[in-house]
Amino acid sequence: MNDRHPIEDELKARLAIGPSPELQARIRAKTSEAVPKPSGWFPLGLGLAAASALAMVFVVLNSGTQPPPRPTEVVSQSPVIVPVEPQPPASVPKAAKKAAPTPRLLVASEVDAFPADLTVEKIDLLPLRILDIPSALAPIPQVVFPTASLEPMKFEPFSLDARVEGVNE
Amino acid sequence: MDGYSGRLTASFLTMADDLKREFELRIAESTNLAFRVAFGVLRNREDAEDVAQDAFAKAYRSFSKLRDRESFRAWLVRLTWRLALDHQRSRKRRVLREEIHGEVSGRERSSLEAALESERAERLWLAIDALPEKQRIVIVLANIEEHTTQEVAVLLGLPEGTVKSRLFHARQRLTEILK
Repeated sequence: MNDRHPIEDELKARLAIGPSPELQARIRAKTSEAVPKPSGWFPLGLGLAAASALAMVFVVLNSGTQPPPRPTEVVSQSPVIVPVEPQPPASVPKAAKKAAPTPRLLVASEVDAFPADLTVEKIDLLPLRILDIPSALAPIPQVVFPTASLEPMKFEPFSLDARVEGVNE
Repeated sequence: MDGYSGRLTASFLTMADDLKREFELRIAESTNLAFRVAFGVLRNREDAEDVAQDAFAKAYRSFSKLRDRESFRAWLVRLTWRLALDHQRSRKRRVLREEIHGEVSGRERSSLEAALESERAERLWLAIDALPEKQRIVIVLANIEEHTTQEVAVLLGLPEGTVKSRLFHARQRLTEILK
């Protein structure tokens, strides 16, 4: 402030004037009309409450007046004829063929393991030992039935006369 | 609930009363400052008073955030400066419009002549107006109410070094203009 320009003294003198005595009264009158804005958390809370209330009103109004869905336009079209060519049968890969075990009949030893009163409903309760896959995939043993124990079937001659006689009776 | 709302209302009323009382104090101690800042731009007593009044009205609306004395004065000075510049611009436009239409009345002509009665005053204000705005506000504030550079720095929210530098450049520029 030591290197003052000479013109600053003049500036200082010209700015040394004061306002009219009525200015303060005018300011008081003007500020009494104005309302100071509140600050802090209180207006923030009010703002949030107002915003949430507005959002709720919006949601309620929207849920009550759902517009009916617009009907989809159906346009009639002439049927299109698509030529169908015979397709070759789909070839199954060899690995898939090998993987799937072929169903087979049970051998006599396996049949013995089943309970006598086995029904379709009880088959799920069978022990896994019987149904395990390795044994199921095992080679089928050759079973030889003793033919000697089989008795030859006896055929009786058909008597046409006897039947006729019975009918007649 | 009635008791609670009653207490709440009472506390708000007390707060409002406190705010009013504090603002009365600010009016009493800062009216001259606001007027002089406005006068430094407008050089017209009536215009400066109008601008000071508007500045206080705006300050009152945000007074709850500006209760600290120094912040209030700083805010008031900047607000008054801005309002005065706006007022000056609109006045210039108005004068220009009236001159173009040749409607300057005899009374306005005489007030204009009164404002320009001193060649010295004209020279002074032209020199001040020729300064860049940042230097202008610094030199005006440094020459009212015996402000020190530190006080000017607080009012403008600037470091003291910046104020000193702007003051130095403003003085150099005034020397060049008035040579």
